[in-house]
Formats: sequence, structure tokens, C-alpha cells
Amino acid sequence: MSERIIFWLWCVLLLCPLGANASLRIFACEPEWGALAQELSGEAAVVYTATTAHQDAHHIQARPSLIAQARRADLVVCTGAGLESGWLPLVLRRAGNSRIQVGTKGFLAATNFVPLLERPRRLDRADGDVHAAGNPHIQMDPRNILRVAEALGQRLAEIDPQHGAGYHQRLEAFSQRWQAAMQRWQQQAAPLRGMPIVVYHRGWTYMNHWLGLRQLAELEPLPGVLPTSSHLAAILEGLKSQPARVIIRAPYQDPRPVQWLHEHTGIPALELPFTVGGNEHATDLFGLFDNTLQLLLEIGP
Amino acid sequence: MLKLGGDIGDSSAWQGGLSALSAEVHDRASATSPPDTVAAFSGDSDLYVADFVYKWAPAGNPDQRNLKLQTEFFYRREQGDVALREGGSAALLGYKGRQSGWYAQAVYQFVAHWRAGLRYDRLTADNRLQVLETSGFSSSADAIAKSGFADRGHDPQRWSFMLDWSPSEFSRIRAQYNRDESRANASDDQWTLQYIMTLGSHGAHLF
Ligand SMILES: [Zn+2]
Repeated sequence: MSERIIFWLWCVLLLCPLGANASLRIFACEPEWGALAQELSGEAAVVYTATTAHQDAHHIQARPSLIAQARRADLVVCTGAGLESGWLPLVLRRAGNSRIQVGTKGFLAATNFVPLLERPRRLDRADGDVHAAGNPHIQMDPRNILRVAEALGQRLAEIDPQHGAGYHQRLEAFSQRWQAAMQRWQQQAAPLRGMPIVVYHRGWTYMNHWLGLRQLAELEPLPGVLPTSSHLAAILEGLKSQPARVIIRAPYQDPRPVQWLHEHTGIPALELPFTVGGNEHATDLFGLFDNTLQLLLEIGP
Repeated sequence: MLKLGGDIGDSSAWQGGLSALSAEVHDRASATSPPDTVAAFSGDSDLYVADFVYKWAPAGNPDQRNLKLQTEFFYRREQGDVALREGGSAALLGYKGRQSGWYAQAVYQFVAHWRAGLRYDRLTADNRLQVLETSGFSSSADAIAKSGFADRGHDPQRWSFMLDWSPSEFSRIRAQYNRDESRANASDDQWTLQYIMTLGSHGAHLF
């Protein structure tokens, strides 16, 4: 008797998502890809973003709500290159949704469409939580956003051909607006070239590459390892001979080591949004870059 | 088996599970009857298990502070006969047993690398036996005692407190204190210090 009730509950739980919504469902791992998917799909899709700017995308737990969302998704858009290796494989496995598994049309890894920097020459745990495929934090170079947009626009049209023309139109319109914005950003950011910076985690490599910023140090002694006092002391020593203009961290990172270094050096501490939703100005991808440049320019080279 | 879960805002998530198992048992031996005695239970056995997990972290970011509450409850109900043999003696007993157990624990990471936890465990049993037929045993009480199916009239419980420090994702040092009241008329104070090391690539972050 009880087995029969439980059997029916299972059926209801598994089947109800199928008929729930006719429009395309997109599961985005990080806010930047959620925002991009929304730009490119408009009304044609419902976008769920699995993480916020206040969470560390390296360390997310495969909670029930993520599994439930992945179960009903038609397309998963993630960073890839190992960023989500601690949780996404489990979410995909538990979701039991064959449309979105790695290698299918329903799974898009943004880093597959971008030339990756910082590919490690050797892999050793002694070097910390190193990303084996290269640095996955690609979103702070707007040229990468455009590369991913092109791939994502194509993919949307492929898996939802009914709205194919609409996706192509939206991609075209987004690319034009984005290219115009990139020109503006490039001009605004020209004075920042060569600006010496200190960062918390190796998350700004692509922004540095784009703007020509010079990264002097990372507060993490090894990638993914929390700052230690001995490492901070070593950075403090190094900054005496080679000072930086700013100490940068993302909203999800501990402000205390940054504050400590600021107090001991007088170098301004700066929280940059890092992704969409990182502060009240970074409400979309355009706002993310507008605000990041504005904050950097306020400090100045 | 049924599992349900969800989020409460950005900071909290929960998961609850229920499962039930029904079995018809034939000749399951008692583990606690004396060595030269054979006692076997036949009848119906139903097991129910419920579990609940709640997690909290400020803005969903557990790096600095987070809390995990967890509880699990099981209940077993059995009804049937116990066939008992000891040398030339034999008896048939009617058996109706209910056992339950549960634990609740809270683990709080109050600063990066440091966690404190509290846990309570308890087991209860209410087993009733009635002698239906007997030959060779000195009394009904003797047959019931030898079956090993009677409860002890004591509910074991344990309190635990722990504090641990994880210098990295792969190692952990834990100090733990247990007050163990498993035995009927004595309690044990246990102190342990453990070093826990994880080898190989780190596993997925399970809920
Ligand atoms: Zn990283």
C-alpha cells in the first residue's frame, strides 16, 4: 500500500516538469552567462541562474533546487574549463536529463570558444587548486563575451529552430551594441594601461590582458588557498619597492585581508562587481563593464 | 523513497526524505540470544526512515560562516512468532516489537577553517513477548529471556560535542567529547582526537 503511494509520488515528481512550460528553459551556471542568455533569447526562454555574484563558483553545493532546475532545462550554459568541476558533474548526473549532458547540443561551455590563458605547464596539488585547462575566469574581457555570444546565439537557433530567426536577429542586435560599447570602453580605459594592481584571486587575468593592467601579486598564496599572514607580509614587503595603485577583490571574497593590506600600505581597496549582480550598477553585462571601468578610473592609473 | 528539497531565499536550502520498506521475514535469528540457543523470528517487518537537512550561509556563500542542521529518524514495527530451541527444550513465542532511533546535529563554521558541532543520539525499544507453547523451559520468563528478543528496559543515548580545524580542503584535526549512556547503569566519558586526511582528487560538494 505505502509502496504504491510512494510510486505515484515519484511519478508526479518526475513527470510534472515535462509539461510545465512550452518555452525554452536555460540553466546558466554563472550570472554573466545567465545575463547573456537573457540578452540573446528575450521572451523565447526562461533563464535560471544557478549562482550569484556573492557566491564562489568554484565551490557550490549540488543542492536540491539546482538538481530540480537542471532536470527541466533544455540548455545548460556554463564556464567550463574546470571552474564548476566540484559540483556541476554531480548536478548533471542527479538531474537525469539526457538533453543537457556534456557533449550534447544542450550543454555549452563558454571556455570552448575562447583562447585560454595561463595553461599550467605541470599539474601538482602542491600548486593549489590550479585549473588544468587554463584560467576559466574569462568574463572580464568583453571580447570573450562577444565570442561566447556568437556560439550561444548559434546554439539557441540549433536547439530551438522554431525561434531560429528571432535568435539570429537578437544576436545581430546584441553584437552591434556590444561592439559600439567596446569601442567606448577601449577609449575610456586608455589611461589605465600599465596600472599596477594587486588581486585577491587569479580572476582578473583576462581583464588585465584586455586593459594592459600589470598584476604584481595575488593575496592567495596559491590559487584557491585562503590568504595567510606570512604571504600577506611578503606582499607588503614587495609593495615597498614596487607599489600598486589598487587592491582588487570580487564581492564573494573575504574583505579582511584586503583591508589589512590597505591599512598597512595606504593603497586603496576596491571591490569590483566581477560579474552581473556584483553591485547595484552591474545589473546587466553593459553595466558590469561600465561600472568596472568607472571604479578603476576613479582611482586612476 | 521520496526526496524533496528547495531554497529559502539566497541564504538557505533544505532537503527532506522519507522512505518505507516492508518485508516478510522468515527465520531471522536473534543476535543476542545465548550461544547454545536458537531463536528465529518469522513475521512482518516494516521500516520507516525520515531525514531532514537544513543549510544556511550568508548570501549563500559558505566560505566564512555556515550552519548545517541535520536529523534522521527511523522506526521499525514487527509482528510475528519467535521459535526457540535449546537442547531438548522448545517454545513458541508471540512477538510484537517497536524500535525507534534518531539523532539531531548542528555543525556551525564560525570562521574560515573552524567548526563546532553538537549531536544527540537516542535509541528506544518496546518489545513484547508472550509464550504461546513451551516444553522443557523452567518458566515463561526463562524462555522470554533466552529468546534475546526482549528489550532491556533502557534507552541508550549519547551527547557529542566536537571542534575541528581544517588547515586545507584535504586535512582536518578534530577534538571530540562524547557522553555515552549506552549501558543501563553506567555512563562513559570519551575524549578523542582525530587527524583526517583526504587522498586523491577532491570529491563533489554533496548536499
Ligand atoms: Zn579560479
